[in-house]
Amino acid sequence: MKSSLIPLIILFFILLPVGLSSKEEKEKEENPHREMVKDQLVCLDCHTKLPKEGETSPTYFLVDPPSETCLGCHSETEHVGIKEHEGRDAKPLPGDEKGKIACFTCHDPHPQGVIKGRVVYESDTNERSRRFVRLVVIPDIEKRTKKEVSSKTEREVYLRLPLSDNKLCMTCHEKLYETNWRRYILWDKFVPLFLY
Amino acid sequence: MKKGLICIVILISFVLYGSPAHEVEWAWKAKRPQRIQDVFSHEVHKKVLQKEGFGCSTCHTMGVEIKDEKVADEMMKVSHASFFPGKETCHFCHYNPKAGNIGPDKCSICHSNVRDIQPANHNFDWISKHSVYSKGDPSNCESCHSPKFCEDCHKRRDVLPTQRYHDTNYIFVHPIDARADPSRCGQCHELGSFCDTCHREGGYEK
Repeated sequence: MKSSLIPLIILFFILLPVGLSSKEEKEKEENPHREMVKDQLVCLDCHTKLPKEGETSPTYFLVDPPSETCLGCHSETEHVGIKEHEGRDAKPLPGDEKGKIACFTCHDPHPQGVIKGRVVYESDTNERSRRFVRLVVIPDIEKRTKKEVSSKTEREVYLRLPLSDNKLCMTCHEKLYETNWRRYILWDKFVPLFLY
Repeated sequence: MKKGLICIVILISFVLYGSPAHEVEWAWKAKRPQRIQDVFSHEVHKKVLQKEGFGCSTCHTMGVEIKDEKVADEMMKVSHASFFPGKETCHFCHYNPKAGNIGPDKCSICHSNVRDIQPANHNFDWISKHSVYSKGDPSNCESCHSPKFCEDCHKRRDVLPTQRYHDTNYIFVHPIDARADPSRCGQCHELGSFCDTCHREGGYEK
């Protein structure tokens, strides 16, 4: 009895990694964003119809309201900064039914090749910047929030514009918040010259 | 006559406020913003950081997730913390005693009142107590002071250290400082005995 079990156990351990990897692959395959490049039917997961070239709609022919479409699969807390952007005007980028910022304002749900002529970008921050986030910013956040956090490793985030040169952020944040810092720095530099 | 009087008043005020030990608190200074973000300049930082290859998302990090849970309230805390950089992020360039500072390191650039960031134990007679603390945990001192700060007093061969001395005329103006903030004198001098060497009952002996 025992001797018949041993080959079965060995076989189980040999096949386990194969099974796990196939599960991962299946998950990858099920990603509708990747699938829609090959299979146009996947479009109907979110859209009511395939629009003709140049045809537009304020609701983007979506099955659900634009503000809720992504939440069918993605969490509201998918990454930080979502709540901070919520309720703000999306122009000049596409917005939800009220013109406010939605997931698809920054992210293009369609990977490169699905919509003719449209370019989609990955998270293209450089290695130096990523290291700074990992070694300085993340520990700082952990220290302040007393929560264990990590930086997202996935680079395939389908951005409408590149992160490098701040093009994506600067589309809306044209004018950066500026303070009256010159006045204070000048006072600090010159007033002591007359006082000491 | 009047002009001469005005000149004398101006001269006296310059002598009185001329002491380097005196912390000048003009009315305009009181109006300085208390929050660090009100003296921060995106314009200045953008130029420097772009040269270094850093973008908006380096300080305002979006690619962060909580490891153990995804509760909305907790996420909000983390979101706020990652969106508005904390002191460690600023200090990496502006105050980094171990690796050295890349950016300007004058504390008062951001901290309008430097005394706010002074540790509570740097109080009465700190100069005689500090050795116990520094021997106990030198890293505690190093979190603010560079090794040069210690060496200025401990390793110099000449008589006076480079820092922590008063002007020669300080004996005439020290009552103003002492009355305004006795704890400031107490940081270096033992208040009872040091003052008593000159001030005894009934006035000045010296």
